[in-house]
Amino acid sequence: MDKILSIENLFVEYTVGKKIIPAVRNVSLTLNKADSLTIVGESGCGKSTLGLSILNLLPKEARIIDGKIIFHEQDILRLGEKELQKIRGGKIGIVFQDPLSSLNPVIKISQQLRETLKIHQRDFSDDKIEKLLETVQLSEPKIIKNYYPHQLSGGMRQRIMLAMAIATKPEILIADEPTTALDVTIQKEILELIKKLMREFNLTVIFITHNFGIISDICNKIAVMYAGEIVEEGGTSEIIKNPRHPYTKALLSAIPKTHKVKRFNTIPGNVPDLSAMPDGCKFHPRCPRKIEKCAKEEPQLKQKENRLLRCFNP
Amino acid sequence: MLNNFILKTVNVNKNFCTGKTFFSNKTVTVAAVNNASIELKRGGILGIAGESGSGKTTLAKIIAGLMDYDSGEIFIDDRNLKNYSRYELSKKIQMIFQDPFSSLNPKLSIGTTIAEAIETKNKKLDDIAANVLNLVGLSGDTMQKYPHQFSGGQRQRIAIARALAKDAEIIIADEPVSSLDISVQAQIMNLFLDLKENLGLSYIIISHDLNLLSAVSDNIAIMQNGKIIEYGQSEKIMNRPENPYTQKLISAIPVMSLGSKFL
Repeated sequence: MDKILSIENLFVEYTVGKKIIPAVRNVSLTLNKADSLTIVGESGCGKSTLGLSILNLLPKEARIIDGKIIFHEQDILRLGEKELQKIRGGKIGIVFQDPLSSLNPVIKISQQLRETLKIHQRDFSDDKIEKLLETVQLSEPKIIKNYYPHQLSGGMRQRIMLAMAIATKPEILIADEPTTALDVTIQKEILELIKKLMREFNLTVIFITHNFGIISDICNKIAVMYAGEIVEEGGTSEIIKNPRHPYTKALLSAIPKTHKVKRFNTIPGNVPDLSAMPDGCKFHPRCPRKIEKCAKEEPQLKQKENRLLRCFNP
Repeated sequence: MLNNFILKTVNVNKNFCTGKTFFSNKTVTVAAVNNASIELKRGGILGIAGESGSGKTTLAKIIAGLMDYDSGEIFIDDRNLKNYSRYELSKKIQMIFQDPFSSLNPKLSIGTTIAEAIETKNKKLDDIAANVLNLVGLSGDTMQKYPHQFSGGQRQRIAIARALAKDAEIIIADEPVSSLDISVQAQIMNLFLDLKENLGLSYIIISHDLNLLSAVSDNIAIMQNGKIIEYGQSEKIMNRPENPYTQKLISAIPVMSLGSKFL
């Protein structure tokens, strides 16, 4: 298969005051053409940091300690700002959770799209802009292009973000919690739109979310992250039907069901403080299946049947 | 007849008027809550669902006495809401908000935050505060700490403790878990259920997550454009929704379509 992006042994740290917080530890992932991968995990597990590293967009407190991000045989982390600019928003597009804060409030929609097209030396005529708005299924593109962001609803703004992300016909789209701020009915529409764009543009997609529910529909691969590490990785249906890592199991069972319950299934305890992580397996203090070994030795991510798994006692 | 119900609203209305602004001199009236009638059973849970702008939060604020209403009647324990003093009402109803980051004063220690809510000259303030913190699963040394030292889930527990400090009988929770991670969501919802069992609390829970509501509520009210468009037992609403909008909401719930054994 056509390998398009591979992340190799990535380590990212944040420096907060005197504390060093390892946010991503030894993450490796491979994406083939037209793959759609979801990175799932709870807040603070490093999933967004990982997404931002791919475009080298990390905030200044963060530092990539080690690792490679290979995109078409080029290491993104070793590119200069100019070359990076071509990839960022050109070959790889990104959409974020909150479309209002990602759009400039005092510039018309058409102008914001034009900027993207101009930077990447594409056709930035009015026709092209209207066509883009049509592609993301906004009706009346002739009127909407003259609007300012505040005149649009949350769903429409996310469509504009998607239009910007695909304006340069990128190969990869990174979507970081693209529907979390939206109502369920709008969420469904945006997911349908992303699926349509995936087909039309033959996009490779990296989805970042904490919501298992939306994944099964859209992605063929899942990577579950906990405390900066991947703990389980494999095909969507294998993992959702038969989760092996205790954390994946617990996450799946904590999702509310559509019938009345006496109590919800929970994961005891809290996500560990990243600056003071437990020895051994990072999940062992909360794990129902821990054995003696788990507190002493750190499990490695190993191939087990049809998936990668980081657990001594699955 | 009302006795089974701790709270009842009859045809409550609230209109919002947009004022004249620099950009326009038209005023527009929006019916934020339109003839809303709901009932909350003693010791029960009523869920209110709807999309942003459907009026669910406005209705909650009206019931909690935080906002006036234009017409209609609200009864709490058979007594009209208008006959309650602010102090009496705060001992009946407490509200918990979505964002535990903005609902706690960052400059006050947790102990002070809770003591402030009790607002009596009672010397045993510390005991009460320690007791309610204990009820929500936090240790006594929490009292000396400040909000920034806690995670989202812990902050939401503190907000719940503050609501309990008044011995309120009804808790209105406005999207109490939507800013939390799934595993923390489950912990907080279980806390609600534990407190309901142990203290006999009644809840109105507002959420856009119908899955979550159907898992805990006896009854669900679906709101759209200020109106309650469907209202009934949660099993019935989830399994046999009648209103097309309810059907649309339910069909939009993301489901794991792979037949997971966890569903």
